[in-house]
Amino acid sequence: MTTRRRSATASWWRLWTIQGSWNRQNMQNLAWLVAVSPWLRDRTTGEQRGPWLRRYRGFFNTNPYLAPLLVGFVQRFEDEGRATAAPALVTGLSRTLGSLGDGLTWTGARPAFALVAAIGAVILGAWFVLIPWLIFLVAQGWTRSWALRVGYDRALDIGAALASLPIHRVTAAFQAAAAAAVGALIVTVMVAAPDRLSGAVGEKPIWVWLVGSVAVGIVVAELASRRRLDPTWIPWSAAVGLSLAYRLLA
Amino acid sequence: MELDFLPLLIAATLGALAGGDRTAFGQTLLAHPIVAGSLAGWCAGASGPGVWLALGITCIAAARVPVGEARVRDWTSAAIVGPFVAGEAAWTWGFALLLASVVASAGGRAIEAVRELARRRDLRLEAAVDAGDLRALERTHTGLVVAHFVRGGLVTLAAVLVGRACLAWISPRVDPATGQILAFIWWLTPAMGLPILLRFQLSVGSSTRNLLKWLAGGAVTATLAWQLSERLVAPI
Repeated sequence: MTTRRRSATASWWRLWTIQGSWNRQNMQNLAWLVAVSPWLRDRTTGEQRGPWLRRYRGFFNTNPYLAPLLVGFVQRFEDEGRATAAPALVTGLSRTLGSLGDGLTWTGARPAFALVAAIGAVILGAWFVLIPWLIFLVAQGWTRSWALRVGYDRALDIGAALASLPIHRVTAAFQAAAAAAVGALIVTVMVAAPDRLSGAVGEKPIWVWLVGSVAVGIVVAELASRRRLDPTWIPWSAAVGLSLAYRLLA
Repeated sequence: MELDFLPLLIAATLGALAGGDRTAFGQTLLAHPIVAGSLAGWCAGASGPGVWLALGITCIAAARVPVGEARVRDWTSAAIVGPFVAGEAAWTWGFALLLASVVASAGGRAIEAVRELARRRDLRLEAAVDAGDLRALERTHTGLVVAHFVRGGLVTLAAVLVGRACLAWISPRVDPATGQILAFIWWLTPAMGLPILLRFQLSVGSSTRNLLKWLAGGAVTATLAWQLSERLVAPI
């Protein structure tokens, strides 16, 4: 194994913990320096490391799944002797990747996988969640490896490299898949809920309770989206609402 | 109140692994309430009710994207605790759901405490940075990663113990009407939470109309699948 491959493998493992020392001051900076350190050990002497670390010390925050791209980028830039320009570029790129990656993962891929897990778990049983989890685990591990490689190989034309990536299209595809999964989940819940409620709702038909719950949910969703209601209060609000409804309906 | 050691150990281990995944290692979806909660139900021997509880929590948690949160919430521990606290009676699952919202707040504060610790430890590294002491950086980082795993385990374990103690105290005092209401909370929360999920998922894309088409497509497909197979939804 070459020195570069060995340090890249060590960085890849460390990048799994990119959020591990996240804090409100320097955010991911410590984890990022730790992820670069295998390469730093190979390339620098003890005296050179202090100034090197100082140059990259400070605020650093980006999408955790795409952070490897920046590690590869810095390694290549430093290898090419362009150390002066690298810190400013890293700051700019971390924001770009943060924006692109957060859309891709938090509003696209993760909801899509989680909703598929939810539908499968309701229909087939709890064990089903292992399948989307394992697929996501492998896919994001591969993404980290790919990002590390692309960051190094395309560091000198990183702008063109990022522009050529189909991140927006992939994000839109995941968001569409998640929307379809929400539609399927609505039907699944409405089909599954009466099984639980039958015989337990008194004289009123089951649909009265279901429609009432959805109506309450619409109001709660509106309040939560306007940040008027903390989500942790939703079950307690439901308890109060159901107590009142029970007195009226049951 | 019975204190069976093995379920507590399983709850704490699952809490540690999922808690670590939530904040420190991977973000692999293990920490998602539907995954962590379903697995907790499976481990606790209450697979079906665990899935239903996790689904309710998933819908509630969808009200916020976990990016740039002002107040952090730990829905992972919240989803794990329920199946290890609730019993066979349906109302105990409603109690577990109410407990989950408390655990989400308490767990969130614990996450913030570890992050504050990280901030302080990070600020103390300036001398190590100037000296180029990579080992000091690695030691601090590793210690903080471990702290997140320990936090997840401790929060889950403490919540299960407190939850069981509360349940043991409440059980003889629950009248039939209160029990019925608690059961309803558990049964109806997924239905109540669907608009929250819907609102979030339709607000993320550039074209709501396009997403609505996909949503309708998913609903129609699921309806047809249900019509084709009466056994699609197994009694869980």
